[in-house]
Amino acid sequence: MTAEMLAFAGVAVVLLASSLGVVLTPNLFHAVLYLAVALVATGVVFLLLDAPFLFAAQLLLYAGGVVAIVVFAIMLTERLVGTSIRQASRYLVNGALVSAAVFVGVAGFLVQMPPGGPRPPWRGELTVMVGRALVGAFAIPFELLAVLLVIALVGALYLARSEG
Amino acid sequence: MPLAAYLTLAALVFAIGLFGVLTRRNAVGILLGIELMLNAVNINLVAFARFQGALAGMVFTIFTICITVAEVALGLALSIGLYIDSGWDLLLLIGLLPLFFGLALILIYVLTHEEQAQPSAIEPTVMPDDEEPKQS
Repeated sequence: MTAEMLAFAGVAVVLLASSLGVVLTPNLFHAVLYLAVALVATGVVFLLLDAPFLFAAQLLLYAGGVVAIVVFAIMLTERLVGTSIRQASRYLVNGALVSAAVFVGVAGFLVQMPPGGPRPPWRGELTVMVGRALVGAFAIPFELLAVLLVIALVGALYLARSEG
Repeated sequence: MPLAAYLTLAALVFAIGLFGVLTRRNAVGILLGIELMLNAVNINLVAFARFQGALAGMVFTIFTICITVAEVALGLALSIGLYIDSGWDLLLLIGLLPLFFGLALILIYVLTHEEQAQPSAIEPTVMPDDEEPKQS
């Protein structure tokens, strides 16, 4: 058992346990904290896949930004409603059946997949290559992403103003 | 670890997120389930990109992360706005904008890469007749 397998097993256990915590805990605030753990574990999976830049982006945007926004929203709505929000779940058996069926369907493809070789070594620095691709082959989607962020900013401003 | 291990992990996380989306009754809880599913897709993208030696999966992961962050911000503003009960069809339209933009990004990527017959600058080793490589 190599160190990489050990690290992968540990990260997988943490990721699956915190994901189950997100969907099963009745307290919404605790669910968000479990989600933060799951997002950081996903970032560590990126790190295991030799993508440190994506690990940094994951930490900054997901684990920093998204979790902060969700915590703010939950606190704000709890103050508006006046009570602590309890998460009610329904259709537990049906939901478990459907998601298990989806997993079995995906796993069926995974079983049929031919066993690939080891990962090829990267040519060059990954961050440099991602940056060149962003202004090269992916320039138009990159510019569209800037438009999307501006529209999200304007939309959030509109939603914030319409309350007052 | 082989590629199948990462794909199995991603499939498990995706199934858990789908379970959350199906069973949660709260809008924020459903949003958390969607976050889990998107993360599973990101793991898939990075794993395929790493094991294929291609860069497009990494760049797509960055796009996914950005679109998801914008979507979460607007979705939560939407759910707060629903509590305050203002004109909610316009709110729904604004909240769905990130989805439309994600689809537009995918469409533009597919269209621009069908036009380019020759391989792009991402994979320099595929072009044997290229004299100087486009990246160091």
